[in-house]
Amino acid sequence: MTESQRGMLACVGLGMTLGSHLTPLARSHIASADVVFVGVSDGVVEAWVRRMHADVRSLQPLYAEGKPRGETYREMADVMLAEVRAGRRVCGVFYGHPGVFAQAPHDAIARARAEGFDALMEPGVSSEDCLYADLGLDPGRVGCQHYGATQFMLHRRVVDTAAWLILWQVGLTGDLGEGRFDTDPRRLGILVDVLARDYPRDHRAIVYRAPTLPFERPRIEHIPLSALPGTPLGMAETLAIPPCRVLASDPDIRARLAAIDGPG
Amino acid sequence: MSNVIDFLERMGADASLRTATPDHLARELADAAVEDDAAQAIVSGDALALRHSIAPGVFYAILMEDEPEEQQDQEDDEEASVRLRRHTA
Repeated sequence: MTESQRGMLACVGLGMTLGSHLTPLARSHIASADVVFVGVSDGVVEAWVRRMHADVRSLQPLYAEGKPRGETYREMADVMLAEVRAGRRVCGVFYGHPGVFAQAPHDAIARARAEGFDALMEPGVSSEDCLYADLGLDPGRVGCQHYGATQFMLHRRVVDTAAWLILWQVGLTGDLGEGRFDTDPRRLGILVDVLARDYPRDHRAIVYRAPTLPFERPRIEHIPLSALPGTPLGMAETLAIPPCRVLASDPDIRARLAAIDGPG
Repeated sequence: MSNVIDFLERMGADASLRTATPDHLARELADAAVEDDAAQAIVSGDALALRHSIAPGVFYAILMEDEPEEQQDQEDDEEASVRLRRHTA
């Protein structure tokens, strides 16, 4: 009697740029899987993945205009888990990092483990990583805050304006779960009003998009916040807002720390 | 199409191709027997044209909800609570 194969799930990242960021380990997971599901942001990149395995299934058909995205992400996890339960080695391939601003890979791994299957995630080069390189921004220098743009608007965040503020999915600003995949000047105008609680309206920010094809250049466009409503934004755009004040020092804490090694 | 995908994969991993001049790139594309339209799109940096020829249509580039589910549940509870208070007031 042969022992039946136990299903497992590996979610891997392709990185952002075709051919530049795929790790050897991620490629190995793709090659050794029984079935590969692919959720990437570019049809050319999907065509590339199709050349790595005979059974590659796109997750794109699960999206639809007007369909709540949460439903789409649950279905992504469902289709991967169905194959795991059937005893197959499944690889979920996602653009960037499969665990950064990516719901389905985390959910699928958690559900697979809860059902007793082996499941793992392998990191990839994310849009955030590309942003640091392309904008010359080091998050360790003065700090860096990251939020989804709509979530940032809907909740009263305490913004540290001495640190960078990065707003992701800014091209979908103001989607209240209606399944929109765009934004418009009115919604972006409300985002500017929220930002104006903490920043001058003429404070300059950067619209950024990482390249997905190796002959593309990153989009790096400097604009005042007030110009955001008139700026064309796609699904892959990010807004990077530099600090508008210097770090405020805390002399009491500095004195307490100095006293530890000082003359006793 | 396979030639252009192979070329893009090679270009993505080759520092000299990433920084090549248009003339150098055109020669490399010709040597790789990449179809004329695709080669022209790559040399001119026209990603839209290349996408249109290889994979036309919309590709969705969003993998995250704006509100975590536990937050949505909490807000649903709060809304229900407000409705209940209004109803019983």
